[in-house]
Amino acid sequence: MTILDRSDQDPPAIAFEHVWKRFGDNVVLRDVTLDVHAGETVAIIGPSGSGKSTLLRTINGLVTHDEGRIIVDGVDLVAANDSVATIRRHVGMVFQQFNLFPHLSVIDNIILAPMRVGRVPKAEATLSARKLLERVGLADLEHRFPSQLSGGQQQRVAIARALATKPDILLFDEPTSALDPEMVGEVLAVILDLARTGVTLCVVTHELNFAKKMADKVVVMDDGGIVEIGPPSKVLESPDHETTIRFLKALSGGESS
Amino acid sequence: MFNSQYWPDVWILISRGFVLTIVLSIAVVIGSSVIGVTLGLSSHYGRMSTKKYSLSNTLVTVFVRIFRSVPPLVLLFLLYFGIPSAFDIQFDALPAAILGISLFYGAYMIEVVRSGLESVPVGEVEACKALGLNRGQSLRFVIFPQGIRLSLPAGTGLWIGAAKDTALATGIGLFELTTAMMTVRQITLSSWNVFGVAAVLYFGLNFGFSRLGSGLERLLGEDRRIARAQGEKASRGREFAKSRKGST
Repeated sequence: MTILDRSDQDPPAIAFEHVWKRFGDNVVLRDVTLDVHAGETVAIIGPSGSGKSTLLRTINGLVTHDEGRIIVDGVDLVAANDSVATIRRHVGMVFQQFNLFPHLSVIDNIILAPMRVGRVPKAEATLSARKLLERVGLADLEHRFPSQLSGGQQQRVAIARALATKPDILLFDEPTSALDPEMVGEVLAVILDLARTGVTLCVVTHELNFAKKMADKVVVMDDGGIVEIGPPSKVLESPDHETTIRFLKALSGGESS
Repeated sequence: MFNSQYWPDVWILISRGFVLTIVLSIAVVIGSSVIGVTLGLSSHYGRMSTKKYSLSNTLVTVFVRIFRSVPPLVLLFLLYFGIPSAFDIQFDALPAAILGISLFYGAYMIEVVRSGLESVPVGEVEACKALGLNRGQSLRFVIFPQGIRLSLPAGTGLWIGAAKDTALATGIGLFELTTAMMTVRQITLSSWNVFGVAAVLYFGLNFGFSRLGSGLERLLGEDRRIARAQGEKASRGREFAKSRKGST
């Protein structure tokens, strides 16, 4: 291990210990053990139905795991009644379908959580929201409504909304899968920018080039389990596991360029 | 229209009845809506819990089952004749009619409100959770404002139903439109005219409630909401443009 590896010093930001999840007879997470360190950027890839989204959703309690332990920022997800609420204050999430609130304007979407959860006064919340909009390149759109924005713009608003509560962990669930191809770039650029700021990122994605550029660590999942973990240069270029090889081949076959 | 010898007494009777019907209708529309929204919300709040069992949801379900399953006329009889005879409470005909019809339509309204709240996409609820909003905040700021609009078309139907069923109050002797018309029929010995007028008046009243419903739907609808929110900004822009025009 290199000197720069933080795993020996700090406790991980997110720790999975032998986590299982079943929906009925269907095992969606199979004995998952994984550490994500503070500031690290993790890309989670794998065939559809492999449990990537479920894995991501267990981190902020949108999905409750059945067995094992998940510790986020030192808090065990199931230890106390309010542990999920505590964790959600530190963890932001961006969804595949944006999930903006359609009855609220862009600025109101962003300031809702800071005002109601963080008890930040409206003027202050609005000011920081404007800064966030500027950061995602949408400074002049604060009075628009979600239905008046393109998909790429909506997703960037969703990112600003997730950042508004000042999370130290951000979860992205296929953030570009619902976008028209010409809008993928603008969203990925914002995420890449975030990756450089030191916030911990977990991104479920099918964008391999993006994963290569952004990720410190790539996690490959298949059938609910992790089949391979490593730096992108290793996992994406000379993978060991047969699933990874097959999956990468299938993806590159799709990208004819 | 009616034999002139009864004029204007007949019209006085009809207007008295119609005024009471309007009052009754507005009262039951408000009453059933208040029951529907408060109990619909509390039941949905219970269902949003991660716990399997919710007391509020069970109580609301019992309420709905009971009041949906008893004919409204029987509810009126129960309130007006039954309760005073069993307990030492006197119910006047007017509050008995308002309460009985509100309870009956309120039970349906609960289900309408609940289905509206449940039609808000699950992604919205997940976004609330991910942002750390608790159940009450999610309901108040995100689910209710969207769900209530989804409840409006079905809710308007119930308003009209409730307004029409105020005619049942004739069964406990309230002098509303239907009672008035039966009296007029006995005076004039004419049925076709009398109930024709009644039908037209009921139609007029309920046309009002239809318009109210569709008006509210438009008001809460996306286009108007956006226009309202952005109107302030736009009008400021126009004034700015005007002032610039004036100065040059």
